[in-house]
Amino acid sequence: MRQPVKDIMVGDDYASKFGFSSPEEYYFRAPKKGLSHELVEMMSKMKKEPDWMREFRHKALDTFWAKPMPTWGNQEALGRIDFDDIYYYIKPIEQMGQTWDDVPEDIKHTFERLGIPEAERKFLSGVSAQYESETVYHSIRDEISKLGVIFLGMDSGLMEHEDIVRRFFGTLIPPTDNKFAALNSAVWSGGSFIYVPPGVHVDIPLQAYFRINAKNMGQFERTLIIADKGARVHYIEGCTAPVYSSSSLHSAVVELIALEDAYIRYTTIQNWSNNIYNLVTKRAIAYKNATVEWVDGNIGSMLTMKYPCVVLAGENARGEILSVAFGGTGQHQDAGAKVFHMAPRTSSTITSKSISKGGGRTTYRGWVKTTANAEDVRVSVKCDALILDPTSRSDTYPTMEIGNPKVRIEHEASVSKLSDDQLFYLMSRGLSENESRVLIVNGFIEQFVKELPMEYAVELNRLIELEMEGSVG
Amino acid sequence: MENKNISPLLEVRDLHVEVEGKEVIKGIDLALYGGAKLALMGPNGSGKSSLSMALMGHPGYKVKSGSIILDGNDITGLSPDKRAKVGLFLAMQNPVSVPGVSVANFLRAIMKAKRGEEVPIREFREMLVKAMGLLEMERSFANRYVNDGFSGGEKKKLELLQMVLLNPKVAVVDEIDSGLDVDALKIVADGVNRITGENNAFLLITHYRRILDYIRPDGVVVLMEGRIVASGGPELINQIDRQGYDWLSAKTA
Amino acid sequence: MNVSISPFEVAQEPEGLKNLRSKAWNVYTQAQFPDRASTLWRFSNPEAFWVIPENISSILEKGKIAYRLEAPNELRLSDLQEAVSNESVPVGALVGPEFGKFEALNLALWKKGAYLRVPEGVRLDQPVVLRKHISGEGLILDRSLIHVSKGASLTIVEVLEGELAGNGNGYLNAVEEVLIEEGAALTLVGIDLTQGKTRAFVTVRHSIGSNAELKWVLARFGEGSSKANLGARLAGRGAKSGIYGAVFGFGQGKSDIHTFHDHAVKRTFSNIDLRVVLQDQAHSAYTGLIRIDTDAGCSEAFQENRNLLLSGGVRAESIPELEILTDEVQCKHGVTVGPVEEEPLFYLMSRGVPREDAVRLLVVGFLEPVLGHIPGDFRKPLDGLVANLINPASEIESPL
Repeated sequence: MRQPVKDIMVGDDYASKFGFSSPEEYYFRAPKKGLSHELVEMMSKMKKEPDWMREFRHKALDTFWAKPMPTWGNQEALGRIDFDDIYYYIKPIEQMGQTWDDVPEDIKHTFERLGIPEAERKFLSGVSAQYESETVYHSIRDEISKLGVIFLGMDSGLMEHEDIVRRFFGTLIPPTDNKFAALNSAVWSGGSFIYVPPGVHVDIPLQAYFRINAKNMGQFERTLIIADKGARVHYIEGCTAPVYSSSSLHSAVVELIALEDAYIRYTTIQNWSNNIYNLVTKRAIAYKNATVEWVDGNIGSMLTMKYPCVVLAGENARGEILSVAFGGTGQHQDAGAKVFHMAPRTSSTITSKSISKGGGRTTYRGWVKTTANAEDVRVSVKCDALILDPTSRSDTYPTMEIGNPKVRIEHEASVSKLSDDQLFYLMSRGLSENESRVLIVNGFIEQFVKELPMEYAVELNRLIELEMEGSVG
Repeated sequence: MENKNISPLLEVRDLHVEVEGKEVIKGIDLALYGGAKLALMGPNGSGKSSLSMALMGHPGYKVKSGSIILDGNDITGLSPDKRAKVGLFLAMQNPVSVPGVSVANFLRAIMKAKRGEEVPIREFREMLVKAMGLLEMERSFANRYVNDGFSGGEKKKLELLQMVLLNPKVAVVDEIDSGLDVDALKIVADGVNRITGENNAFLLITHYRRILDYIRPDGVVVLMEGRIVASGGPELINQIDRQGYDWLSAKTA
Repeated sequence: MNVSISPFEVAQEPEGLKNLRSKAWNVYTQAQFPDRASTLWRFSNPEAFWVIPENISSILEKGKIAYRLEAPNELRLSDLQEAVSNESVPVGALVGPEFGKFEALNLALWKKGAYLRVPEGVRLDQPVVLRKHISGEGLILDRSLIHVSKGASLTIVEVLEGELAGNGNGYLNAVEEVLIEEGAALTLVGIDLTQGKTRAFVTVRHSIGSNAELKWVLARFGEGSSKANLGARLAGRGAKSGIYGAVFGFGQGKSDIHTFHDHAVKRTFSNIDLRVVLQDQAHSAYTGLIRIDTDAGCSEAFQENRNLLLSGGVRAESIPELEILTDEVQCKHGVTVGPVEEEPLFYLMSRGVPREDAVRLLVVGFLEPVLGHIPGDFRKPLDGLVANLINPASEIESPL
């Protein structure tokens, strides 16, 4: 089992404790910052992509240019993004590793500093660790591939399984969905591709780490997961990023497709450093009797905008979105959930827990919609926010649009500070004020933490502890 | 109270306490010696719970003057955790719930705080099993969240469990009998009796005599309107049981 | 379009008001249409409230409004315009020229209005009734200002009656400003009994002083369409505001209600309980914002929106928003949407109550926590109205 990660440190001292990077050795660097059709053309050619993908990218780039920035959300932070000052594609020297031993030493070193590799080897069935924009390490346990499960980097997935990719890629999140989805569609690189054949249950979580490790580099991974009829899969995405002085943009697109009777859980623990824009589009579709669960933890970043979505397209489909956001100093976690009930007897649960501290800001933004044909729908939404000091802020913006009377919709939200009574109770038993606060906050997010694999749970509790250090007052 | 020659474990000197600007404790002196079990009685609103909160250092109960001495240390200005470390414990009348924090994690955290280092998991487990056995508690109790959805009796048991584990020098036990049936009451009283020794002392707050049939105090003080209006031996309990408190309020007037 | 001042300039008005009108006219004619991405306009199209400046004078002629006050002698209703010329009246203090494009239309061109000043310390046990009767067709600009002075205490029942024939262009544009001074207590009951397909655009702002209290009860039963922006600023320590709303939408009725509780200072308290019943093809949209400012710690705010859906074609929307900028707060909101609950329906029917009556009983029971705040004389006709409006036949089929 993985040791609690000692090196991971977030907040003001992130840079000194955590700001390391490997020498930037690249055999390819985009010739210049900024976006152009030439860049897209070159990327696509280097990746030896089929024509349809190349055209998809070019069209998406035009869409990106044509689309306005969102007029809602944190306008001030969004306004500071300079799209011309970002590298859109960098490929490391290292080639795709087949086993852990093949992974180059300095990359391993970086992983070690993050406290990752032991756990990866012991616990994981397959690893797809993204370093820069390419998948550098990727291994799948024999038995999983024997079952017919495909677990590849998105680039390899496209090369080796073009037919499946072409059928599903960009269907849930077309480039026209929003400006950042368009950007990703134009310059995407890396990410994971998973296909689970009918009836196959993948018992062990599949995992990948994404990190940003080059100055001013955008990271635009693209993940597509398809669980065929009756299949089950749990995918875990963990993110930590070293510090760089100027802002980095991370804009992923994740599409999950759960066919009839299938089950997909997608777990994310993100811990971006404070200079990163994390603007992600995540959407899933659940067909008849299928279930999709998003388990989404957001710590770090300067601005996160992320609203995992489930489209309940078939009868009895179920969606669950469970999220935690921690907005510390200089951070704005604008996260939430969307569920569209488009078929009868569908149900969904949204649970959001947020904590703001040190002038940080958390926003819950949600959208629940039921169409006129969606009868016997059940929706339960619960948002709880903790504000730890007078300068921090919490917003709640839930939208409910109900088009059929035979529904049960319940929404509840609360905002409060740490309870003085709880604090007094714990302190009266000998815990210091800070220990008491950590314990209460960890209790506040327990519902989320207990859904995580053990080592992630330990890591998250530890992160909260670190975030809370010196927060007394 | 017979050990007059040695210093008391808890000494309260001319204590005045305010809640939201209103004086609720109007000058109290108390001394508790090792091995003592003192009953603090009084009608509702007499200041019993206010005194217990002030002793433990609740921020809402402001000490305006006077002092609280625990085993020779002046704890009047200390935060609640420091008071706990010096050896004071307050079993609360209605402890708050802490959702998401399991009893086991909570107890392990407070044991760590007491020792200043992590208690090895095996040792902790043995300690916990023993203490829970003493209080006739089910094992599954440890996995529930602190006081969350607990019945009155379960809350009282968890308070006692902490008291047993922390082994305080002075325990203030506030209305431990409220909401308990006779069986639970016996178990709770047994728990208190078993950990009583020459090196610790109890202040039992109650306004009924019921609990005092099981935990026999060796002295009684009566509080009314923030002042001690009577003190004496256990015979005072019977008198209050028969006559109520009115005869005492006449005395104060 | 560059009209320097409104076509309705009134010579006797004070300079200050003339300036306000002129600014407002510029806002109305020049300002961009509100962004539909904003919560406030998500469920209504602003273009529906636009009247081309050249056409205004002709359609204003056609709409009529009359005010009547039923009150003891010590209170007198004044025409707002006369009052403005004779004494210092803070018109536009809460809903000024920059407030919004369509509120600006009202400020620029209102002519008649209601002005009620409750003198210091006046305490009335019997409710005061302010009746507004609308008729004709076209555009009506209704402006009211209520000023409750220090320590005064009373209940005002505002009844809006009549019908504004819909010719597609006209509507009722109402703005009400309410000042509640230190220590005053106002219960304001607004009953909307307008008939037919009357369209309304209503903006109300209260300012609540220290230790003053507003209890605001709203009942709206209609098949017209209404967009209401209702707000209260908790401006003084100890200020309290409670909004209790009952909406019954039927036919093609549409109700788009926005509430805003603005906690500007410490130790303020607000509560909202909005209950919506919909049948036929009625549509309700509720958006509500609670904002607790950086300096407004030790405050509490609650908000609840319940929606009861009685038939298949209805739509209910709800966006209860919180913006909390400090930590010393208690804040909660909740939303429920659903049909009549089966359990109580079964219970009543098991005691011999026919299904139709059981549904009626449950709907009345659903609205009771709101209607219960309305003084008896006004309450009874509403109950009757509710019972008559419910069309159990249109109620969705259920296993019982």
